[in-house]
Amino acid sequence: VGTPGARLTLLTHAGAHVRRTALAVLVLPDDTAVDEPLALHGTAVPIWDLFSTPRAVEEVAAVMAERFPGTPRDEIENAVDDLARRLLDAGALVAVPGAA
Amino acid sequence: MTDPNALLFSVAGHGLPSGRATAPAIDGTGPLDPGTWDALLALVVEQRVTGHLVAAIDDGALRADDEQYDDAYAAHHRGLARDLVLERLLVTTCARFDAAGIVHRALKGAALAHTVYADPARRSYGDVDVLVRGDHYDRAVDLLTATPGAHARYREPRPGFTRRYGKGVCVVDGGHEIDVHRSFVAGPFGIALRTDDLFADGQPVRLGGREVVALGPLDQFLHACYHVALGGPTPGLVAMRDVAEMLFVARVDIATAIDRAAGWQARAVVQRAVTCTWDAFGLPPDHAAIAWARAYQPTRFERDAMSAYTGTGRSYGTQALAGVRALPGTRDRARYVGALLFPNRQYARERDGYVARWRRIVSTQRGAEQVR
Repeated sequence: VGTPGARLTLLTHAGAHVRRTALAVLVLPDDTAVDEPLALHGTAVPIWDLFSTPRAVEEVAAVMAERFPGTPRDEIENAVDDLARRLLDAGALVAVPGAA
Repeated sequence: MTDPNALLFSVAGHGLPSGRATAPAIDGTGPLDPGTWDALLALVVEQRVTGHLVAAIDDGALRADDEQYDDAYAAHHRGLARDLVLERLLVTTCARFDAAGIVHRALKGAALAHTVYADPARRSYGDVDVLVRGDHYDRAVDLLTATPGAHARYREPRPGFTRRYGKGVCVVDGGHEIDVHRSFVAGPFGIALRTDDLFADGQPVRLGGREVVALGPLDQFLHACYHVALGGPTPGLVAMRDVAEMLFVARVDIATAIDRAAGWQARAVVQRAVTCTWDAFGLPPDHAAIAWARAYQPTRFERDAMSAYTGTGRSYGTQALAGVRALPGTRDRARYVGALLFPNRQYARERDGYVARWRRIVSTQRGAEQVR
């Protein structure tokens, strides 16, 4: 994530406590001391959902590009990459061992 | 202005089948005037039923303007943020018990949200509750209070008292409360409850990346009944919703539940819980649970015990005194009464008023027995 090669790394949900509403998905990773869940809104929700099975950022971006055909592909890829990096930093996503 | 309390009950019962002859307080109602809305939202937050509020709005049962819609979701998301932190605390607490070999079951809260409700976001809570087997109780409390900054809220009258007769203790840790239960309630119904039965069954619940074990479905239902019937002077809305949800959605078999309650001398507990729940939400009158509850005649033990929880003189002292009747042998009774009448000094100092009241109650009771 963040570099073209890293965008091929397979990522998926880490152990996390999750609640979903009509407006947001709230995510509190298992292994953090943080008491404030991440609140995902708008297009962050389908991106989060796509990582429920191991996928690379490029793959998720491709699916999102199909759903939003009017949006430039590199803009989508950067948005997915940015969100994936933040979710990784927060412990909500993990890299799948041995997969790249 | 519509009565905010009537609206609150309709919101908390939203989605349940209705047996009311009249229309419920919400049925395409709204948008409410600002005063009514503010009062309703405050009650909904206090009672932790924001999940049902947003469901009622999304389903069109309660119409909201844009500002009210945003307010409702903001309150709901704040509640869910708290739920997630507590869910994580439940998981880490259960993991610590597992590592120490302490036999336990997750109660209420996150366990119910994930096993009984189709959407866990509908069921909010305010603390963590774990039931611990009686012979592991002292070790469980020692383990939790060994964490720097953690402490038990109340002491025991004498060492080992709660392990034998009590409900449990609240451990405060980092601003959160962990209720360590030995039984469902204090007093006679708590003592009569055969707590070992509760560990014969269990159901795994996946929370985050880990698994905890909750009570079996039947015992979850009975626990909710204890909570509704005996938990306070006014039955809690969330607990009543739990009872309704388990009867109408999870379809707990009421006949089997009543049989199990009979073994704990607690059919009157189920009776009161069912009756309160039906009255609160106006549920259909043709359900087997309410038909049984309206007809059941409590035993003498149940009547006497119930009055300690629901009578005008309701207090921990009256429940403790009534607990004597639930004890099977004279040795146990003597030990129980001795611990409450002559507790250790720290307990007496912390609960001075309670001990004095209890001694007065006992002396009055003795007098009453002599008059008979």
